[in-house]
Amino acid sequence: MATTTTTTTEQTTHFGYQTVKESEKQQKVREVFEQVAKSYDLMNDAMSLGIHRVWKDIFIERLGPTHGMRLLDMAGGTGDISFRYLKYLAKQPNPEQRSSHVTVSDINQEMLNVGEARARQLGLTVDQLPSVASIDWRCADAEKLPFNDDSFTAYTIAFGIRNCTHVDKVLSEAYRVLQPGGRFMCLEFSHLENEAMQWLYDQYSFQVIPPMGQLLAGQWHAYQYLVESIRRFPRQDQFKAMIEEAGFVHASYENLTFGVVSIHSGFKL
Amino acid sequence: MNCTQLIDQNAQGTFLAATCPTARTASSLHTLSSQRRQRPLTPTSCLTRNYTKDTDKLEEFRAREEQRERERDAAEQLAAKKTQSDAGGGGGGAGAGAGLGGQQQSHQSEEEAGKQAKVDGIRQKILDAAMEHVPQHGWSKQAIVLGAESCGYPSVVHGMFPEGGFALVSHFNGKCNAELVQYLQHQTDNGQKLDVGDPLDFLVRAVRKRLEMIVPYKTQWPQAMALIAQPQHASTALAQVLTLVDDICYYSGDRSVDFGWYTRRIGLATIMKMTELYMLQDTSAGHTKTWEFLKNRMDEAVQLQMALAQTEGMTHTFQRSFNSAFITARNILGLGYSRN
Repeated sequence: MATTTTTTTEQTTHFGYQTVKESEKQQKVREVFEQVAKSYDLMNDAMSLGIHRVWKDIFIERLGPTHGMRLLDMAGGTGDISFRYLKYLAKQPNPEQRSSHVTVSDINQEMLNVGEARARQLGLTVDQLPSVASIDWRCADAEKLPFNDDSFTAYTIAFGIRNCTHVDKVLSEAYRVLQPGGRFMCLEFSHLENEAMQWLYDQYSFQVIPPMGQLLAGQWHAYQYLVESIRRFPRQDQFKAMIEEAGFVHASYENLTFGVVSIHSGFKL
Repeated sequence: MNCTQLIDQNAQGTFLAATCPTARTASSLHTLSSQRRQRPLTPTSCLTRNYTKDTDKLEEFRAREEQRERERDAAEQLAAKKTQSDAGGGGGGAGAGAGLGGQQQSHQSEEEAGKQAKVDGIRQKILDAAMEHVPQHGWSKQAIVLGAESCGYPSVVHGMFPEGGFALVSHFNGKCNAELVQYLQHQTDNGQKLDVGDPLDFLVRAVRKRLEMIVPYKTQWPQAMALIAQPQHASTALAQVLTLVDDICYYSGDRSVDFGWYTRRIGLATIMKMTELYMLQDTSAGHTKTWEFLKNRMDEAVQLQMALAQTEGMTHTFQRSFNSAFITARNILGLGYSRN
């Protein structure tokens, strides 16, 4: 969320607990993710003690993919959500032989490279997939999507939206590329309701995660930015209001793990 | 806010308005003394129930009622302020300021209400279309997906119904209950005709009419009953059953204000459930055996009541246990608090 100051040339925004110019934020976020891309999945497992896998499983359960769906997985980088989507579809019977699609998109090419390598390893590339689902990897900026209007039936963004400079632009772009009846879903770190638990969570985030990042990935400041950016993200209700402002209806959210992460959802009707 | 005012608000299809027997009977008798109320009461306005929102969660219903309460309080304060300023002539500015604020708030909530109504309309449309797929796919997410696609929506909108098959079941139940209420209103001139002949016969006819609506989905009905029995759906299911039973008893002419009000409704609900279960395994032509079963259960209930009336001490115990069962049900629904 941009904060206006009285600078003559441009507005500033937050980068973790620092204040930077809006034009700089995108570059700084890009640098962070370039540095962490190689060890991203390892660090996710270490930081969340493996629970992030459960969160993402629940996220896909809530989406409930059906055959014929066209998913845009934004900030999908290393492909966690997309692979789960394909595995879920593979388990569903497909009597009418409908074909589905997922486009994995990320602003950072490094993250997409890691994702494509994982896909090759898991046997989920274009030539190896069953003919019912196709996967596409595109480098794109969430605030300016290179896709046509009404071209997807579902849009997911997992752990990515808090890194975007203009969240409202991301939401309105999501609204644009979704078909009428399409669903927007966002999985993101959020705020705990219980103050004592929030304190515990803060201690863990600030005292444990950056040193862990230094030990396992050699990156202290990147992980410092990550935990700070979590605190700068709007609260559940505020984000729900932002989703409604973008034009989505039937907006709702569901807290997981007492509010450590939250699944927000809205429909374009 | 007392029960009469709750009914003024045209409570939407839950048991809330009906848990005060005195208010319901009193309000229908006092239609002429409308001058003292803020809105004139007509029999239809206090007796009609809007069943289209049966799939709403109770929290949303309560939030809506509380919002209306607040708006009415604000309007009352405004009216009080206005009378004060009219008398005094000095507080006109304050009154106008409060009036504008109240107007803005009502615009916003009107907009939200409009959006909500649009979403509800789409939900109804999808569920109605999904009903056609129930015989083949059961009360399930698959039926909802097919219904949505036949309406022209992508399959992903099934996410609007997180409770899955139960959303279909409660939608169907709500529709059937509304249809039954219309039939009963037609039979009794909107509850005005208190003499409906033999009340027992009336009850049997009403229950029979309601159970006959299930017949087209009879093969899938066991699945529906299993969904209703699940604890996470208990509050909605209970609300629907109790509202239905209350409606039937009311139109049969029951204007009692004693414990009999509770016992009659609980008794009728039990008989309805038993007959429903019997019907599922009944293979006779036109379900004649089921209607016989129903008549026998009703007769037994009457006999039980007469036997209890003859042993006064025991009656009190039974009445108290029925009463406590009823209060437990209310607490499950979260309606146990006093609103006075």
